[in-house]
Amino acid sequence: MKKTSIVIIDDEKLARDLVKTYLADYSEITIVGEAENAFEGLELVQKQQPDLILLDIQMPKLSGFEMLELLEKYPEIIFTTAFEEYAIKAFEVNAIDYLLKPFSKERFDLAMKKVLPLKVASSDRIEKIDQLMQDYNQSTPDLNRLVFKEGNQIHVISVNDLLYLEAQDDYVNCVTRNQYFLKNKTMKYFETHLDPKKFVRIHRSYIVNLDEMKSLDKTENDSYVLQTHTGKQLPVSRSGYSRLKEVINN
Amino acid sequence: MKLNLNHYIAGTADHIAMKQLTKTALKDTERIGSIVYWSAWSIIAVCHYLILRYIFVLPFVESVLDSFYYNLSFAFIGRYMIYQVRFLSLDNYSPLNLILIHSMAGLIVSSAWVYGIRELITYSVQLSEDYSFFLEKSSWFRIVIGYLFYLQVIVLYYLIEVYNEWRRNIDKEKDLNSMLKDAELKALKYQINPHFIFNSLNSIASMCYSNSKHAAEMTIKLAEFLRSTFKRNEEQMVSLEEEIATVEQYIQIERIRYSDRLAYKINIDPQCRKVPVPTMILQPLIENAIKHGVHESTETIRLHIDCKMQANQMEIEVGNTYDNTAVSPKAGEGLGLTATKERLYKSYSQENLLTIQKTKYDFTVRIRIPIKSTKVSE
Repeated sequence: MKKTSIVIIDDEKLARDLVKTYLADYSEITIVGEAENAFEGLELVQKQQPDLILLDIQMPKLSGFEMLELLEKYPEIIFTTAFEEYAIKAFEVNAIDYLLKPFSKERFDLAMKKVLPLKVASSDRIEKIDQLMQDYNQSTPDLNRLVFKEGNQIHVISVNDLLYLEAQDDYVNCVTRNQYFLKNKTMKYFETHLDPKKFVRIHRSYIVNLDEMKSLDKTENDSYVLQTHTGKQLPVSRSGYSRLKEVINN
Repeated sequence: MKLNLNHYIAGTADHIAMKQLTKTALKDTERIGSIVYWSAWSIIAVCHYLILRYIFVLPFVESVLDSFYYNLSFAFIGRYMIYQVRFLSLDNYSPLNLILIHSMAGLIVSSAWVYGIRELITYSVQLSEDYSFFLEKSSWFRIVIGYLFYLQVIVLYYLIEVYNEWRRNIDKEKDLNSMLKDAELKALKYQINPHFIFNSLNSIASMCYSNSKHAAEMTIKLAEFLRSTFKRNEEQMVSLEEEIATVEQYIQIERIRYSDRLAYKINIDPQCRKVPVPTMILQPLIENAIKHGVHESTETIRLHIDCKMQANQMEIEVGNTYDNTAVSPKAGEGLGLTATKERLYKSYSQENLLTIQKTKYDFTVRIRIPIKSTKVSE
């Protein structure tokens, strides 16, 4: 019988050891790797393609969620965290299991029972996890960094480096001075999570970083166009214009 | 026609006056309301009498009696209808039911009142013909006025009850809010970081399987650290020695979790040891150092605490290395040093006791403690 493969991703060795102790009972599971940060975790998951991962949310430099953003497909996931004031609701709403540290063997077994036997990766699971990530941060506009992959390189950039964001079908194109990258998120997500005093949705397809705004010009047919310092021209809709005005005037 | 019109005016005057009076009958100003209510009724009674006497030209005795009986009785009914309202409260009955009940009750009360008083008057005095006629003809009119008055007052009393309820809820909310603020303040005072607690407990749980001796040690350390944080409530100042001991406990607990990702060194001048400092003044600095240093780096972070004695002050330095390529996950996370600055200012009445120095690789916070003669609480 094929064994279930698992990867444990947690920045604390003691936490990983505890999980390994709990897994000793599960003869049908092999631990194919351990990672002590999200970078290692990403590499491990891509290489080993485990059936299941135990993922810590709080990790240095790159969080568990951000690691997921860089994965093409998700294995079965059990999230772990020590304390989450607001996030518990997000998990429950999306019916995704999480383990609160420290968790007992019984609680661990319960989570494992829910997840095994493994279901074939359904689009449902991907949707649920994507939704979880959207719900997770309580929709507070304090997003400070974005992550993206360039080949095998992982980049973490500050949102202040963003010039503007452009809608592209199901994705959003994020443009900085040196590069651009696609994020599998909606414009609405960015509108909610970016500081509205700094990032304004000027058009259905564009969000601009106000620091980038050079001028706002009126065209012949009575519509507006925003000129950036880098020489780009972005269209401004009527509602976008009133939003701009409101932010600038305050 | 003239009879009816004037009666109507008289009745409406009662009506309007009543409306204005009941509006002022708020629970808080009930006493004032009462006084106003009865005074106004008296005035109405007088007007009522005058109208009967001089417009309808009815005899003196009858005018007085009519006014007196009708107005006094009605005043009483109006005044005590509030109890009806409280009994038939909005909580227990649906609005539709209440409308039905009161529609009928109003009619009954009004009719009973008019006919009851009429009988009373008829039997108490020998009536003139003019007045008897007047009494009979005005009955239906009085019933209508009484009914309208009843409904008016009922509605107003319900509104008063609703208003009072609303006020009570506002007050309750205010109380809750201030209790919450107290709780929040208390939580802040204890400065318990939940992530720290639960992660440490998780480490202890893990060590119970692998190294029970270490698990026991860590449990004790955690308990001692927590005891120190609770102490903050009772004692304003501790010796530097004690403060450093508490902070070192914290660092050691964190080090168990992060193993080789955290290295630390503490260097205290012997002269500094007994100097009193505000309790837990260094804790936020250490938490900061670990948060911005260890939590945002995958490499080893070095933490140091130095304490030197100078002319008339003691200088404490808390420094850490950090990863300058790291971007913090959330915006607007200040360094939480404002609270420390304020505490220092409150304790020593001096500004600029806290300075920050940031280089490419190091982050250092320096605190100056003026040497003054303060008792160290045991």
